[in-house]
Amino acid sequence: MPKYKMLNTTATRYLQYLQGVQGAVVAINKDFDVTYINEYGAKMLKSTPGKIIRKTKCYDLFKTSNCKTAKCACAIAMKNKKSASSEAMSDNQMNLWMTGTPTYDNEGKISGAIEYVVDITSLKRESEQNKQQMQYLEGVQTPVIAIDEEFNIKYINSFGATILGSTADKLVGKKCHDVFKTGDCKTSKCVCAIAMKSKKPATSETSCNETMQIKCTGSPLFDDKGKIVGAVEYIADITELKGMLESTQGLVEVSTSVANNIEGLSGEVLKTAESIGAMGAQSSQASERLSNTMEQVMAASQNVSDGAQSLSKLAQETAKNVQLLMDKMTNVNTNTVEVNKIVNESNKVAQVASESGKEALKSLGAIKDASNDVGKTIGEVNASVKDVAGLADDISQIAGQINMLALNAAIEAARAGEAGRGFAVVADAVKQLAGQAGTAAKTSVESIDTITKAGERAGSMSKSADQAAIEGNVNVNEAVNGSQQVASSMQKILGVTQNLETAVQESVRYLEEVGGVIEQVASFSEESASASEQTAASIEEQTAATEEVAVAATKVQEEVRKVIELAQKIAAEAKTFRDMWQ
Amino acid sequence: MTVTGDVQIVNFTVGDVDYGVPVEQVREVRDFQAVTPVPGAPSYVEGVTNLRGQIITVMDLRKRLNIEEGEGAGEKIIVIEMGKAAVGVMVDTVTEVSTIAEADIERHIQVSKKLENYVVGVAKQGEKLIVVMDLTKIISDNDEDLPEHGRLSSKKPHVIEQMPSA
Repeated sequence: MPKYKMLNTTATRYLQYLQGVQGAVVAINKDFDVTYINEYGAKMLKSTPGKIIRKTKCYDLFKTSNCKTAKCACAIAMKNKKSASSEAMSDNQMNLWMTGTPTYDNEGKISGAIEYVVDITSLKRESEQNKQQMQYLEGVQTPVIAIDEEFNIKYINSFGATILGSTADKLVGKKCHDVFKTGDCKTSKCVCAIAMKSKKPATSETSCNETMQIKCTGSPLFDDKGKIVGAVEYIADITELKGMLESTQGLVEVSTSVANNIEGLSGEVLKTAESIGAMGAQSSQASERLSNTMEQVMAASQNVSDGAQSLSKLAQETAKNVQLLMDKMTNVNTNTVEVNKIVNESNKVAQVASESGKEALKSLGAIKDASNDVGKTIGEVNASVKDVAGLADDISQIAGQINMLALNAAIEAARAGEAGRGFAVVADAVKQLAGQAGTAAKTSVESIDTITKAGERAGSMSKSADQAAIEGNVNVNEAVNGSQQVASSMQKILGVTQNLETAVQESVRYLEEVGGVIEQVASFSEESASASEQTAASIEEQTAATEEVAVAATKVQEEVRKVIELAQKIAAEAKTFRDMWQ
Repeated sequence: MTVTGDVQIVNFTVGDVDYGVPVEQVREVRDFQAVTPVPGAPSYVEGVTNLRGQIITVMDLRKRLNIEEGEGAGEKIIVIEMGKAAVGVMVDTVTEVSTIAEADIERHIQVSKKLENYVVGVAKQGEKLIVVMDLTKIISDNDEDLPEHGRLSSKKPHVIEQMPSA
């Protein structure tokens, strides 16, 4: 056979192998052009190799989630010059396991790659299911292990691993009898051995690690062909159960002996319990009545409390109002004090004015007195002058009379002729004297007239001064009277305002007292409120206590009933026991 | 009566005029004293008065001579002797008794016809001119006017119509 023919034969045979592969095999060049696809692959794509080869790119065929990404197994293989695998999802939701292998040309250069695609969708699903089942096993609160025929641990759930104080990873691969070290291990009693041998589940009780009582159940594991491949062992910790059972057995014995006594006693217990129950019922009733009464009292005290509280509120409000009123009154008081001050000052001013007026009056009085004196003096002078004037008149008259006498004497002398001539000379001299006296008197009268007139003027002047003084006096008197009236009015106002001040202060004091009383009332009512609240609280407590008593009584009743039931049960049990054991 | 030689007169005034009366006719000079009016007497008769037991008639010269000029109160009474009777003549003032030389008297002075009988003359005395009156005539000239005559004159009294010039 020629060499090419041999090669051709070999190639054809390989191709046949490839055609027989139950998976898609695709060959591509460096540009991802499909250069070959086997029948399975074409069928998987619902096409034929002739329609695909050299007509499409591989990523247009499979359209996986890895195509045209760094995860593409062929790309990785061509890059790394060694086989690469990756899991991908096709566009029709198939799980594909893709393995790429680089191909070389004659010179040893990368020419492309061969890709082997396997549909692992169902596998994946099964795997998921297994995982779930494993999780169920994981959730079982008792040790579960799977072993192969050689008793190597293939699986142990986390509860089992925890019980053994280890982890599943460390335990897998070890021999089960090395791990559990039960009394049955490596004996014919091993449930797994029995199960594998008999192909049926088997159960046995044994001790584990010499401290734990366990109940082991073994089930055989078969492969697809029904051949035994191992076993699953299910282990239950029955240590407590065992202990209980043992104590139960002890109890049963004791109970049996006690049962007789109990049966006898239970009658008495029953009676006692019934009487206790009756008492409890009575107590319950009594406490209910008490409770009712207490509730009434509580309601009453609540009312009192409410009333006291409202009273307290009212009192507080009243206190507030009183406070407000007091504030206002204090303001009024302040104002009154202010008014008093002003009035006091005005009064002082008025008094000063009055005093000034009085002094002015005094001065005027002095002036008046002085002018009066002047007037008097002038009057006196005038009177004296008048007297003098009178004297002068008299002198004048006398002079006139003397003149007249002298005249008549002259006439007589003239009539006497020569005889009377000497006499006539005398008469003439007398007449001249009289004339001089008369002139002097006249002059003095004139002077006196002047003096008198001057005196009169002085008098009238002093009179007018006097008048002025009197008028001034009157004016000043009026002013003084006015200012005195003002002062007295001020005094009155002062009295009134002082009264007002006193009244306001008294009312403030009174209000303070009222406020104090109201505060007392408030505090009393608060106390009353709190007292009645306390009363209410204590009554509540009392009631609660009573209710508790009632409840307790009811409980006692219940308990008694239970006791009775129990006693009856026990009596029945005792009877059964007795019947059993006898 | 006839006066010769030096004449002594009593000087008096009525109003603004200086008069004189010869001292022989004058009994005395008195201040005016209260008079009792006489019913039915002439208007220039003031009344009667008691002069030291003698009842005399008092007449107002101003009214008698019908002098209206000047002022005067008629405060003095010159008692003129008329035999045993006397008449009081009311004048304003009596100043003095003086002597006038005969040469200083002008006796022939033409005055009103009525006053011819009463005026003796006009005398010079210094700067003054003095009408020298004969008061006895002024009383007796109109007897009927005097109360003692019991008749009243309806005639107007004579008045110096013009003062005689010197």
